[in-house]
Amino acid sequence: MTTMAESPVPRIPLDYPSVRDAVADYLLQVNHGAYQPDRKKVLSVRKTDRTAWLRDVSSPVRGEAFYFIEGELFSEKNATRLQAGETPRERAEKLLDGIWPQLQIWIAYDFARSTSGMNAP
Amino acid sequence: MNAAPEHAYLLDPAAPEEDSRRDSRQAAEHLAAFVRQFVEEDPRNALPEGGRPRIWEPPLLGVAAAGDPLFTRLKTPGVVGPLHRSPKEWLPGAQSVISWFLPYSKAVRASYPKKSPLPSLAWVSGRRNGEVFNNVLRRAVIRFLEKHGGQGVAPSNEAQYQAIGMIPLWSERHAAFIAGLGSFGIHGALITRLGCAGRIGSVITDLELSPTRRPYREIYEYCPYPDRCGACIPRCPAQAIGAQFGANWRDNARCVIQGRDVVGDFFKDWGYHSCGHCLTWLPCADRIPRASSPRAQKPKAEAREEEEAAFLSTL
Repeated sequence: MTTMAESPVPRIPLDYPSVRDAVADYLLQVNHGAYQPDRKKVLSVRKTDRTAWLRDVSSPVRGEAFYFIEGELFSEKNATRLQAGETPRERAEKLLDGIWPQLQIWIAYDFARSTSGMNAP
Repeated sequence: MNAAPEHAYLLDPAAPEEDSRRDSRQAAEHLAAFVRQFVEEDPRNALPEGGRPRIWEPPLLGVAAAGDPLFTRLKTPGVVGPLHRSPKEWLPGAQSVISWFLPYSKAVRASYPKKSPLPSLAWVSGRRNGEVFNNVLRRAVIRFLEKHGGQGVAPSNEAQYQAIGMIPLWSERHAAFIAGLGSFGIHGALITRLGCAGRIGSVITDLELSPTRRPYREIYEYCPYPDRCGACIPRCPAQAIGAQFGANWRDNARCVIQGRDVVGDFFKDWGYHSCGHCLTWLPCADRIPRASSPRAQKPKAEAREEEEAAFLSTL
């Protein structure tokens, strides 16, 4: 429900290029041949520098937080299906446009040291 | 009644009436089943260290009406405070507040030393990583509500949320109290049917769900202090609990220093902090203590009636 106009900026911003590249790589994989979404793929984000990469789901890893690509990051059906002529990177950028402010807040809270706010010391 | 008069604000003879509408009850039951399954199956409900034991057992769940007058009382200075926002200030059109209590698993609870002034690694990791899972659960509940045509807001995960001078814009514990999950202990934690060793979360929604009946009327109803308990007072390594601290029974600054600085320094290499002495090895750690008020220890027939009314807490 938070709007961008009133949102404080998380102290450590999420690294956009690595998130975009991870999502684009996912789109490349699941759209190769017949479209086949992979419910085991997650976007993992490292606490120290907020960079992200794509991996299979596993138990939690120290210093990381992860989010399921299907259903959690992108909950609409067929959201990760490439349209005719669309590149994975273009699609990734469109998808991230829709979730970027919210994703920044999620990650800020998941790495917050206390429960006193996402930028609490 | 153990509480100081200042806490009379939460005395509420007008608990939400039992909602007879089948729709809202069924919706709440579906939600309860979803939450239970999510806690049992999501891989993030595990410590990242050691044998990766589960952090949380399935939660208690309760529902408060967004218009419950107790939410207005939370704005009273000295209660939570004027900064505290009502459900409708977080979500215009709010109808219900869904609140849950996640109890620590036996593995995490049993790891806590009985006598050391410091917690276990499993505890501090569970506190930190368990709150990440609590965030995951908040978001999952919001998605569930959206799929059912509603909206959801988790105040504790909103960008504007903060605590100013330890006064939060949204109190998970007070919301849980209003949602029928439990009453407070003098240690400041909520004592539920599954004890106090756990964490609380909530989501506000514009869907109308049947409110859970509160089986208590007084803020400290489940806490047997002063007549029949007080075990948390000597157990606190920071001497932060006691009658000398006035109506709140607690010196929050001492508590924070212990958890953040003392424990945080000890677990610096791990990146963890926070203490849990007041949630472990106590009569209220995993249940409502036997010595609590007579109303909290109801005869079987009355207890059964309570169980039926608090249907969501049968998770």
